[in-house]
Amino acid sequence: MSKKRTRLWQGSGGIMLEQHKDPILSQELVRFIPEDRVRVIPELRPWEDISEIGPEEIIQVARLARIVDERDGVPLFRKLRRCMGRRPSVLVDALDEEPYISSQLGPMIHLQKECAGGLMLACKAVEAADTAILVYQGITDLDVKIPRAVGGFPVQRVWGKYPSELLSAQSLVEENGHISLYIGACALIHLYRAVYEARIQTTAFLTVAGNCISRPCNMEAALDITASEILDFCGLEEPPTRVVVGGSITGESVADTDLVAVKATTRAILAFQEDERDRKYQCIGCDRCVEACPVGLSPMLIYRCIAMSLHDRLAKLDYQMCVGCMCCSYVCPAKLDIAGRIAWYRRKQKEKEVKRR
Amino acid sequence: MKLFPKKAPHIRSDTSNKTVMGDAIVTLAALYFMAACYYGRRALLLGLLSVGVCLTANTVCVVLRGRRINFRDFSPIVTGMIIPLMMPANIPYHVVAVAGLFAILIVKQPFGGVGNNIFNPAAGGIAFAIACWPAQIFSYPLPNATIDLWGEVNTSVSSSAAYTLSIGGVPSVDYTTVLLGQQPGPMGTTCVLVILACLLYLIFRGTVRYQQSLLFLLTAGVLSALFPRGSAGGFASAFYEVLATPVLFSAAFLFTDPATSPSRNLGKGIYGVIGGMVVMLFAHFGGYEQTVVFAILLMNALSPAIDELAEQYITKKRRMRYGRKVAIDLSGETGFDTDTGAPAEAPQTP
Repeated sequence: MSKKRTRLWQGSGGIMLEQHKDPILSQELVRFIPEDRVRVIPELRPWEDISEIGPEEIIQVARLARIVDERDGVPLFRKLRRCMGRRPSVLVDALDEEPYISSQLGPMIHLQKECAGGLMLACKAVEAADTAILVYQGITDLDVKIPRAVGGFPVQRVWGKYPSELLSAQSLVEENGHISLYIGACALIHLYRAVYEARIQTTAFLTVAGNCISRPCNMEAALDITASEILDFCGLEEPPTRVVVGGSITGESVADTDLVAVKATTRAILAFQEDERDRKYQCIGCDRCVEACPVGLSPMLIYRCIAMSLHDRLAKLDYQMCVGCMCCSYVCPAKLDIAGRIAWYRRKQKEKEVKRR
Repeated sequence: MKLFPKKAPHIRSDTSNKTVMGDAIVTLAALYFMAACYYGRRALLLGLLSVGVCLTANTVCVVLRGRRINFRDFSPIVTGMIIPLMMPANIPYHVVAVAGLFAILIVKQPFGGVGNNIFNPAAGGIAFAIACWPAQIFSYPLPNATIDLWGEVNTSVSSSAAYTLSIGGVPSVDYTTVLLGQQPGPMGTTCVLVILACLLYLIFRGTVRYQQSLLFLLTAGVLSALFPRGSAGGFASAFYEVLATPVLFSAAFLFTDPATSPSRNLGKGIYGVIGGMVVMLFAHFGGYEQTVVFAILLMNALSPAIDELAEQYITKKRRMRYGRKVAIDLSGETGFDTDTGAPAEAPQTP
């Protein structure tokens, strides 16, 4: 593995975040799979040994088991097929860099055999040149020890600040003729189960946490279970003011927990009780957002130009390069919705472009 | 469960404008403590008056502009605390009050209040006071002198090290005295060790960027060593120019005001270097013994231009950097049923 890959992206910026992953990460996975939610596809039959199954068969099993990569929502078989015979580097995403979330790292630690088995199958399917399991190095407050290798595959601590994972969000990257394929750790566990146990993907791994959850945990939950059912299962100490599906930074705040169901890409359900008072200030030009921006934009300047509708100036500021990591809004001492405003402006400009065409 | 959807990010850092201004207030309070030790209660009273004037003027302006009063906006307190620290402890109260009013009513609020001002309000207020009452501002009481709280102040006054340097002399105070602040001068700018500690604190808290303040001090020091004003040698000249005059205080509290500084670190560095040069040019060719605030006001005017240049350079670099990696588009790769190539039936089991 090249040294270069110890950083997922070479830019400056980003922020160090307190991870709040323990004690959830140290605990065993909780299962919440009601009997009636389990579905089986009869045409799948278990295989016994990896030597008996060929690359094309692995891809077909991934397809019939309807495995979706939690990293990007793309069916796993499509990603594998794209790379067949191209000898890519297979990189397992167990990064979980957003605070509170350990829904990839947890299963990777607690289901090592399945994760490594799935990786072996994926490597066989694409004839991987090399492989590694990527774990974020910024996690310091852990009780559990992250292994150096899982089933013989090296676990690589990726240096960087948030948002390393988001910036490497493209799952298939070509650089100097070499392809890197990123696969989520949970998708590999599902691949293992599909090949050796003939199980279709009917579950997703997610973290349930937040300051009003009684029993925070990493759980394997059946697909289509609602957020309300999960919150009832884990218990609420007090009524939350905000329930988030997805990441603690980039996730989506939901309006009705009964209408939100677990999908293959659901990484977390977080419930927070927080101070509701308006804490907005005026921008003092402190430049913390400029320092934090991982792509080197000046969010402060873009925000001001949007407020003043300076469209020509905005075009020069590369606002369209914003990756939506929310670092600027996170660090802003004035508590301004900088990232939201930039996203709104991007949407508006795209709509205008579509209309023009 | 029905909820009101909120905007991302769903967690935020603990830092707020209140804590940023709070950092400055804590460090300035340390300087007031030192001033009170050397000059008695009058130092504290000057500070209270100045803060009161600035807060009142700011509140009145906010109301006049039809905005909601934000009681968590501590910026007028910081401005109010800085102004008297750049003046002698025996300064008449009305001078401080007028400087505070000028800072808020002329320099800050007409441009849109906190964060929008082009010039540093405190520097503007002090510069105005220097232009109006130079005699009062440049006559300093001796440290530990008894200064009356009210009425005509009768105390022996002396000139500062800045005056000695301005007439081409070498200050008679030794290095230890300068470091401990036991020399006549503006009441908050002489305690060198305390100011250095404050500057380090602000840098470590992220309130002040080291690129700006340290390059400013370094440039001023190097230039004063290369081109001394008096007969003092290189090191002595740099030591007195930077530490015995309000240059160090300005580097910590005036020059690094975020609203009037460039936003990029590159711009901050350039701003610091040019700032150091301008300060030394003013020292050599300026009309007053204390010209650092005028230099800072001039630099504030240059700040947007430096910012723009740095922005252009960084934009060019950014566009070069992000052009290399090619992401293979998987956006159309959804669903399981439109497979191409391989047969859809189950593979043969062993």
